[in-house]
Amino acid sequence: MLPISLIVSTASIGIVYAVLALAVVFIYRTSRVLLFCVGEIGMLSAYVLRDVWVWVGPGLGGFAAGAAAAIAAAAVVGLILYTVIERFGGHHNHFVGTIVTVAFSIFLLGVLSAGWGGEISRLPIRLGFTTVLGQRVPLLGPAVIAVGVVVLATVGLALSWSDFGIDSQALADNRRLAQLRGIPVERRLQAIWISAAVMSGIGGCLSAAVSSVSIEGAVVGLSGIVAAIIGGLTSPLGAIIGAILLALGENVTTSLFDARYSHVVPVLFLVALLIVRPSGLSGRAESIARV
Amino acid sequence: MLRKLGLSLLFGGAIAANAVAAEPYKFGYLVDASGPMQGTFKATLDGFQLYIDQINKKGGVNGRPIDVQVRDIQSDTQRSVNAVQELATTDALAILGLAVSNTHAAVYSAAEKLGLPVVAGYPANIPLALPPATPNAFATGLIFSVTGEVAGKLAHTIVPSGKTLVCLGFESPGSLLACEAATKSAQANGFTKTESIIVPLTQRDFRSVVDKVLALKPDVVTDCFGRGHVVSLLPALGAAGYDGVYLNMESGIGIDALREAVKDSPDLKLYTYSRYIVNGEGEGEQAKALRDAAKQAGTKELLTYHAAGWALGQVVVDAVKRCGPTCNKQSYTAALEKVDVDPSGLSGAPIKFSPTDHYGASAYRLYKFDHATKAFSAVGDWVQATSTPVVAKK
Repeated sequence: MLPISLIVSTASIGIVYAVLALAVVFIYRTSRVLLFCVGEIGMLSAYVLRDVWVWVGPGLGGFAAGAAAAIAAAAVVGLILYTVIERFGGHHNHFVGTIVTVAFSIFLLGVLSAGWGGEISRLPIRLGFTTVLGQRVPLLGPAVIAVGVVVLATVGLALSWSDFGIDSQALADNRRLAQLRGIPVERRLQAIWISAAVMSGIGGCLSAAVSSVSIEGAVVGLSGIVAAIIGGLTSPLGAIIGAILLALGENVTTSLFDARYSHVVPVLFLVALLIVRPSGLSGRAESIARV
Repeated sequence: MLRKLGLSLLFGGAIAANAVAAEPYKFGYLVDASGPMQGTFKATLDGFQLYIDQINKKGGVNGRPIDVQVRDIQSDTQRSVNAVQELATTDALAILGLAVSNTHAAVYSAAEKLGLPVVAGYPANIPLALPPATPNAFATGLIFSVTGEVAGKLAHTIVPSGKTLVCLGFESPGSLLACEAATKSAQANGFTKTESIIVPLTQRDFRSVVDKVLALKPDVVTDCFGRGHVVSLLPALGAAGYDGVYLNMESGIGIDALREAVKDSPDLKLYTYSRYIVNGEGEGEQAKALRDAAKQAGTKELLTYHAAGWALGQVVVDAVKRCGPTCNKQSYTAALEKVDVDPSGLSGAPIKFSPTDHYGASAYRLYKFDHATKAFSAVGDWVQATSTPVVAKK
C-alpha cells in the first residue's frame, strides 16, 4: 500500500511548486520576462514571517502579523523589481528584463546573507498529526495543501472574474490592443509584478513550512521555474500540472530508487519535453506566436 | 657630519629592524560565509578568531602579530582554487579552514603546487591527512572515516541489542565516507542490517526520505549532515512518529540547532557525539580561556565550533612558535609536522602531528539530550580513536 504520508507530501510540495510556477507564468505571460528570483523572494518572505511571528508571539495573532509582514515584504520587492525593470527598459527588451531578475536573485541572496547571516531555523508551527487508515499523517502537509489550494483558487477566480484578471489576460494576449482599448497597461503591469512577487513569497513560506527557513531554501524557486516551463510558460493550468508531475517524479524517485537522483528529475522532464513537446504541455507559446 | 650620519644609520637600522619584527605572520582562511553551507563553516572561524585575537592582544608570536586573510569561497571549488592562488601572492604561510569536503582535494592540490601547507579546520576534513599523509595536508576537524567508525561503536553502546542502523548523508565525499564507515563499524558491532541513504546537498524537504527510513524500522538512525539538513530532518522524523535513537554526528550543527529541531519530538531519543566539547563545559586551561574570550566578545552560547576554531588557532600558533622569526612556507610545513598541542578541556586527546600522520589520534564524547531540561549531558568518558580507521583511505 502506498503510504498516505507519501501522497500528502507529494501533493503539498506539488502545491508549493504550483504557486511558484504560477508567479513565473504571470510574469512571462504579460512581460515575456522569466522571473528567476522567485525562490529568493520566497525565502525573504519566509525569514520575515518567522521573525515577526517569533517577535509577536506564538499563536494565530503572531502568525497573522507574520504573514502580513511577509506579504508586504514580497510586495515591496515586486514593486522595486518592476521599477528597476521599467528603468532598464526590460518590459520592452525581454532579455534585459530576464537578466535583471537574475541580478535580483543574486542581490536578494546577498540581502539574506547580510540580514540573517546564514541562520537556519523552523517556522514556529505546531500542528500535530492525525491517523488515516492506521497510518500516522502529520497535519502540516494537509495545512500546506489547503493554503496552496486557496491561493491557487483565488488567483484562478481573480483571473476569470475580476477586472484586473480580465485586463491582465487582454494584456497577455495583445499588449498594444489592450492599450488601445483603454486598459491602463502600466498600472496593470505594476500590479501583476507585485502579485507575482506576493505569490513567490507565499510559495517560499509554504516551502519553509515543510522544510526550514534557510538561504539554501531559495533553490525551490528552480523547481517552480521548471514546472512553469513544463506547463508551457504561459498556461496557469499547465504550470499546475507541471508542478504536480515534477513533485510526483521527485518523490517517487526518492521513495522507490535513490534520493540522490531526485534532482535529476527536473532535467529529465525538460529533456523529454524538448523532444516530445517543445512548447510545453499547454503549447500556448506557439499559438500566441502565430497570433 | 659623520656623527649625524652615524646616528641616522643607527636609528634607521633600528627602525628597519622593528619593521621586520612587526611584519605579521600571514595566513589565508577559506570559509563558506555566504554559500550553501555557511551555517556549518562560518562559526568555526569565529572561534579561531577569538584565539588569534587574544594572541595578538598579548603581542603576537615572536613579537609579530598574526594576520588572517579571510576569503569567502561559498563551498565552490573554483572559488576555492582562485582564493588559494590569490592568497599565495600575499606571502601566506598556510591555507586554513576550508568548506564542504567537495572542495578539499582541489584546494590541497592547488596549494601543493604553490608549496603551501593546508590545515583544514572543523568540521569537514578528507583522509589525505591520515597516514601516510599527503605532504601539505593537515587537519584538525573530522575525518569522516574515523568519525563514522566511532558512530558504529557508539550506536552499539546506546542500543547494545540494536540490529538495524540507517545512516543519512548528503552528496559530498566526506559524508559518503562517514556513512560507509558508520555502517561497516555498526556491522562489526553487532548490527545485522545497515543502510545508507544519501540525499542531494540542497535537500530540505525530508518527508519522503523519512518515509523511507521508517520503512526500515531502524534501532538507530545516525547522520553526517550539515546544519540545514538536521534542522529540516529532525522535525519531520519526529512528526512521522519516530521514537528510536537518533545519533547525530556533531559536524557543525550546534546544540542550539539540535534543541530547536527536537522541540516538538519528545519521544525521539537524541544523542550527539563530538570531537570537541559541545557546550563549553570542559574543565582545563584552554576551556577556561575560551570561556573568558567568548564572554569578552559577547558570544551568547559556546558551541562546538568555538572550541574547534580555538583548537585550530592553537595548532597554527604552536607551529608558528616552532617555525621561529624567519618562518617561510617550507619551514612552516616542517613545523606543522611537529605540532603537539594540548587543547585542555576542549577535547579528550592532544592534537599531535608527525611527518607521516597529519591528523593524529582523536577522541569523541557522547552526549544525551534531556527533553525536560533541554540540555545535553556527557555519557561516559571520551572514546579514543586512532588515525588508522578500518575503512581504507580514499
